[in-house]
Amino acid sequence: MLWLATLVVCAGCPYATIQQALDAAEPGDTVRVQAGVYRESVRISREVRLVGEGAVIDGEFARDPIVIAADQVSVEGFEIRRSRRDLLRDTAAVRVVRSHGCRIENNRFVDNFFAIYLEEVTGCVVRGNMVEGVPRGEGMSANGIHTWSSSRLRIEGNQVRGHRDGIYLEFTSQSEIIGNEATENIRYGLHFMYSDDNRFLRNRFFSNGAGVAVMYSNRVGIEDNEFSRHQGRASYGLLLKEISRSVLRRNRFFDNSTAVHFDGSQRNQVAHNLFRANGLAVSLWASAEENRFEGNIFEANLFDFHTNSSGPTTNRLQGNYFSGYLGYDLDRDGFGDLPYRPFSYSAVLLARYPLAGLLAKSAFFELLDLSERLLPSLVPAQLVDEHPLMHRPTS
Amino acid sequence: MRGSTAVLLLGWITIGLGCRSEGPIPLPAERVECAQCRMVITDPRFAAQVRTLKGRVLFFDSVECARAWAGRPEVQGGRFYLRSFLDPPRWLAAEDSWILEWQGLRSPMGRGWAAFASEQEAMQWLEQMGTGGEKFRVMRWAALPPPT
Repeated sequence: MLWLATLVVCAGCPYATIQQALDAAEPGDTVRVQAGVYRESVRISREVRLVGEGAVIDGEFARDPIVIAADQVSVEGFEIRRSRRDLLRDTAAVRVVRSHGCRIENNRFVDNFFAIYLEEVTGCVVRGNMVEGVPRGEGMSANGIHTWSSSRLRIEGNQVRGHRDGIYLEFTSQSEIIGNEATENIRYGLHFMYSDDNRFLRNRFFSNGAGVAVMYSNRVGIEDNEFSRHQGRASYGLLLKEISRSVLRRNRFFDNSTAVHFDGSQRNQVAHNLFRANGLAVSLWASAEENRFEGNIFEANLFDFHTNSSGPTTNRLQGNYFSGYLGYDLDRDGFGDLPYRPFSYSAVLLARYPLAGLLAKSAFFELLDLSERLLPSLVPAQLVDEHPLMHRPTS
Repeated sequence: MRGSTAVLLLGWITIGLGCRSEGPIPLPAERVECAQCRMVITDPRFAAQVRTLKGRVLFFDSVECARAWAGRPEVQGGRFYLRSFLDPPRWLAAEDSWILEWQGLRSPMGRGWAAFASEQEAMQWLEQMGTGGEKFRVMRWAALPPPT
């Protein structure tokens, strides 16, 4: 028979500090922390449930508020603020080290260096946290939710803003990132590298410094997300660097300088996405091969496609909708009878001479585009949608 | 007339100095992308640059990315500079620097590389940090293994 106890922490309680209660707790116990500001550095080294009830843990920029080094620990309901900033040690508000099955839920993080840092962790859940960074100078800001060398994580329903990267996964696999919102982070809303077999569903990313970057990973599923308002130099809704055999489906891209940039990314399926009101919807670099674009909606973008290569391409377009398509459908099968070439001559010029942007959409450029349509010479011949959709699918 | 000659001369000297195509240049204040991995550089301690013979400068977010460009024809004859990890505004000529590989460094590209002015500096710093039992090694630029 196991007797699971609940230990209560408050100013006038038998346990006045969280650490005292944790030291007295047996595995499986619950520690409830009542309202108050706790200025301590808490280390959890056995299986407990730590519940905040109006409690604030304040690191005062001098301490690491919570370190978890045991399996099956949960931390919920706290406000955790002002963790120590140590550039060399990646200090965090909650750091979980080499353990299994943690749950970090419904906490509020304010002005921390890293907020949540998982290191060599498996089977953890990070859910419903509000993570607010205070942007500082170069190199002085760290990531909101950071995972390193971990697997089977579930990161769900968190809101992250004001950090360097909102969510950063490095060497993290078989994880699900669902329904998070990352806005106004200094670098990337979401960033991951060397992280295979992950799924990103129903997240929203907007107004992050450089958008979202996914790099050096395979078999990634990116579905039903929204990427919007990523603007300026070196800023992308979604940057795919060496991403292969992945799926981009039903995502929405609005108001980005470049919605998706493919660099060294191959054999990806890009289907049923909406690209609306971006400067450039899709940028394909020469090293991007065998990507398939199907059933996507391109509307009201300044340019739909661009490539830095005029040679043959193995990327394919099929049955997409382009608001700029002027063809007709005599056989009424829903597909246009004339091919559509989404590469405009002016986009090619613009990529070579950025200053030519001054003339974008001018009569002169319209003329150039028209002549390129009549006598294609610059755009890759195969990058043609032979039968674009006549009607805009519902998105 | 003599005045304008002097101004002209001064102008030429200024241009001449300005175009001096040697030595590293500071990291630009605006957002700059790594030429290799395209990551935006946010942690200058790991940054690197190469200055080509024509004076063109490419920046890298990490020693790893700079190493990936060593030997590429576009930068043939160019000089690589690595940020001094402990003294970030300072750039070290790549071939004079010592590169520490240690996972505790958490470099942007994950191999744990950073540049130090001397082997002694690297070892002293490491001792101070404590390696936590993790493996480390100190290498010269020319001996860095190629990208995986």
